[in-house]
Amino acid sequence: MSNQKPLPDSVSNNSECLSFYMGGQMFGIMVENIQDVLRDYRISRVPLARREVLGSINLRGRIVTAIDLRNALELPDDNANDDERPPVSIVVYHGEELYALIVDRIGDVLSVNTRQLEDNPPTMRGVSRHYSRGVCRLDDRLLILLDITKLLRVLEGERKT
Amino acid sequence: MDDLLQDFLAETNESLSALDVELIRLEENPDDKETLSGIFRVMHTIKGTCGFLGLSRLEKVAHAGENVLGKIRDGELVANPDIISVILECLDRIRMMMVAIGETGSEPEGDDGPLLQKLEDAASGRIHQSDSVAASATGEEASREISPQVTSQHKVKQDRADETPPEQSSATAEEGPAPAETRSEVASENTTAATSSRPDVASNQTIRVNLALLENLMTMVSELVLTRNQLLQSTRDRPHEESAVPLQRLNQIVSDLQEGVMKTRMQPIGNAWSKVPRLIRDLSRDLGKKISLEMEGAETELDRQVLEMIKDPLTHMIRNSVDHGLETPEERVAAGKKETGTVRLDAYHEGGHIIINISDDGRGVNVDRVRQKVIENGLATEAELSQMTEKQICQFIFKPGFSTATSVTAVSGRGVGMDVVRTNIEKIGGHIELSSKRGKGSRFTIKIPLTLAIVPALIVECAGSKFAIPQISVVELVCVSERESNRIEYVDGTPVLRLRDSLLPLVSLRRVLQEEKASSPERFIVIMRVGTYSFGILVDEILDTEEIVVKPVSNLLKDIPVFSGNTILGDGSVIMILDANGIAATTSDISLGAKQEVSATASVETVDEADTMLLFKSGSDTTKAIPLSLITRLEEIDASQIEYANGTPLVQYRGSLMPLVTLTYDQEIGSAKKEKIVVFSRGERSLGLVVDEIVDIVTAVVDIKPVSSDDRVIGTATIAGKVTEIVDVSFILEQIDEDWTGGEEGQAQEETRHGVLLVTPNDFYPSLVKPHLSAGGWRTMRASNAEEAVRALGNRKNIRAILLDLRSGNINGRAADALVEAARTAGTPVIGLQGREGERSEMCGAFVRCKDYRGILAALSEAMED
Repeated sequence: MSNQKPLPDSVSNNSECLSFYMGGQMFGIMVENIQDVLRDYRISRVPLARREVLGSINLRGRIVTAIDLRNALELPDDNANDDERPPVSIVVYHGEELYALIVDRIGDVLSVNTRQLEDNPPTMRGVSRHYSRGVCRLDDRLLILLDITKLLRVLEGERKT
Repeated sequence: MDDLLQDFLAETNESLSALDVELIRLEENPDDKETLSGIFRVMHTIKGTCGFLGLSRLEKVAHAGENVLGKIRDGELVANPDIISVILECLDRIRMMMVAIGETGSEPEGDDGPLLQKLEDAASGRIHQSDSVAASATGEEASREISPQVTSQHKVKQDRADETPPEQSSATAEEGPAPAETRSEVASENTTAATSSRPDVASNQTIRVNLALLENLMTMVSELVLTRNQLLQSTRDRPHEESAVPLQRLNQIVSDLQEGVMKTRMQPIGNAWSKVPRLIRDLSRDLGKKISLEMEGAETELDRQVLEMIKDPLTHMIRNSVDHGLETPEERVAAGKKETGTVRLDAYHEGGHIIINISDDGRGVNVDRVRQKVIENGLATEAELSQMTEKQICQFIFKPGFSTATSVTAVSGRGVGMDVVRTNIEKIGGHIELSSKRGKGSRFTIKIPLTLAIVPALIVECAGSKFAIPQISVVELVCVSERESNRIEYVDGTPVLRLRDSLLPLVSLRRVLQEEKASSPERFIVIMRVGTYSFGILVDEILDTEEIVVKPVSNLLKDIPVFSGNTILGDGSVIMILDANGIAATTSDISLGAKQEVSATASVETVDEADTMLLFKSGSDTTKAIPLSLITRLEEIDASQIEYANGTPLVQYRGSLMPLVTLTYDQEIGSAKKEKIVVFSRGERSLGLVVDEIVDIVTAVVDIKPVSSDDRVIGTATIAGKVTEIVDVSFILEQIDEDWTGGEEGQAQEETRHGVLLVTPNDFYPSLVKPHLSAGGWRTMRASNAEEAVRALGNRKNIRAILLDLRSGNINGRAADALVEAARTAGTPVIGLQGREGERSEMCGAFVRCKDYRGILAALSEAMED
């Protein structure tokens, strides 16, 4: 979370989101969902788990399920190796549980306001459109604001069917 | 006010508050079976409990309410708003009475006639949606009638903090046409007075602690234990660091702390039993039965959380035993039993579990009626039932909607209850079973874990990952080798292990976890038991045992049946806990419950047919066998310890000299460095049989083919696939007598000893029982059938008793009649030897299990006394 670069003062409905990158695309998660960001962690793989689950992480005595966000969003694997640094884990609350979302690279904490938020372009095709709260127009690029609660709920829900 | 009443009020208030919401939900979805049965159970519990507490007015109202709910449950009524309001009205009345009971300790006076009438109308379907005018009128009337109580409820809560003069508390909350305001004030004053004047019963030695706080403490201690483990692990490699000493102290303190906190959660099961005597007393009065209560093991401790969970099931089961199990005094007398029936509770620890038995000596479960009921309720077909054992059929009483009581009584008989009991027990990882003997009584056995927090586990490795297996289900560990006994064999591609006398199915953990990339063979077998089904799990490595804190798995992983939870190890890694039940279920296609039952009964039936034998080699290459029951010990001694007296090899053994013998005369003693010795004892005297090699101990059905050439061998039998010589142990034992008592004296003894005639067609059994009989001072004669026995009775005068082996079943017919006749004229008692319980014969005066040698001796001396 270095070189924090807040947006110019927004008038109203400001909220903060953490940006991160998957492949070439920039995503964001609202900070209220976030408990922790881990760079140094060990994933214990869980056999027989669904493909989105990478395994479990010990977060100070709590067991956190690690989710491969790339896999969950069905993003292509092409740009995986253009960054030397290891993937980062963003730990989020979901109900009573904690989940660790594994992403390629972490960005900054940004202040976004609703004026900057636009609906998904109707022509958007990727799976991420289902979990998008909207597209945020930043100065230099576009950010997909993810609805993590919905994503996790769907993952849990799929389990039942 | 006694504890029982207070608990009742607290519990009922809790469930009542949930009930309003549930009822509204039911109104919205009249078809919601789950909600309906929830409501029904609460009402049922209220009715049941207040029956025992002697709250007859409350019971009447609850009973009427339950009737309506029962009709809805059976689909005879639809839960329309009118019916729901009648039920709500009924609940309000119950609440009103509860408030009064809370204040005065007894029921308020009053007339429930109109309400009961309304409930009855509802139950008989006389309230319809179409009667909207009438219904709304009733509704209005109801609300008018009810409102004072409702208000008073609210007022009570609001006014509770207010200080009111206690002298006014003498007023009782009687039902009557009092204005709402006055009534509520009276009520509130009463409550306040009651609260403030409640004596400080709890002594100074104890304080009450909020449960959530205690639970939280427990969780934190668990975390502390894990952190400590991590610290210990990291310093294990550097023992000389200066932190080592304080760390040791920390280790100790954390262990003590853990134990202490665990203890705060432990309570004697007697706490859950304290209500039972009262319950029994009330039940006995209500049902007109004479009951005595026996309790044992009340001091047995278990986790508070677990204790709370079993309280209700326990009450249900006791009620069930008394109501369904015990007969009335008249019936008991008619059945030849004592007038007073007995209900027995006992509890004890076994492994990490607590076992609770609730038994009665009543009529037992009527299996035919259960069977009939099962078919009526469509729980199983006749064909399915015909495949089941009686015990299996008994377990149907735990199914929802099942009750065999012919009439609906206040005590039980609506078919809730036992399914609730089972659900509650299984919720905490327990297991419940019913066993019953017609006319003798029945017994519920509950097995539950002591605590749900920390369990010992075995840490294993598979395909590079670690897994934990709770030790509770681990029976033993076997290391795979190429040796004959520990080799994995394949049946049509399925791995199996010959373990002693059984074929154990094996499951590859790699295959279960779909990790089949690894190529090196799996080296260890963890043998597990689920119920009575045993199987082995193949793993790569067995690493360690560790105490683990079981944590539930994430929602995303809940659907994987082979894991029961996960945990964090001392080194900080997260590992999955394997679930023996889940693995058994996913790897075998037989329904586990059924298989358990079948194998359980099968083992019961074969247990007395099979003998446990020691297999060894001596002299020749042929395997030889001796029944294990005759052997005292197996020893290995240094050859240098062997001494000689008069050419007889002796060895110092337990403070005296033990002669050594061999089976063959030419065998040399002391040729090996270490001699393996099978020790036989009789009283103080011992004798060692020197053997070349101990091969194995097996349990097998021994089918002997007699050989006449060698008097030291009874015959040959095929044991574990090999021809084995069965050694005649009496040959060895006689040497003990000869060597130590001298021939003449022995002869004299032989003359004075009583004779017993053993009638059995089995060639092997005499060699088992004879040594025991002879140790008990009996001389054994043998007849292989009834005719021979009659002849022996005629010839020999000193036969004092007959042991009749009933297992063969071929001792009957005319020859048998002759035997009975002969025995009767001679005044000789006949004792039947049973292969399994229940084998009977008219001929015998007493019965003993054929392998219960002590029992046989006891029965013989008893027969002599008569």
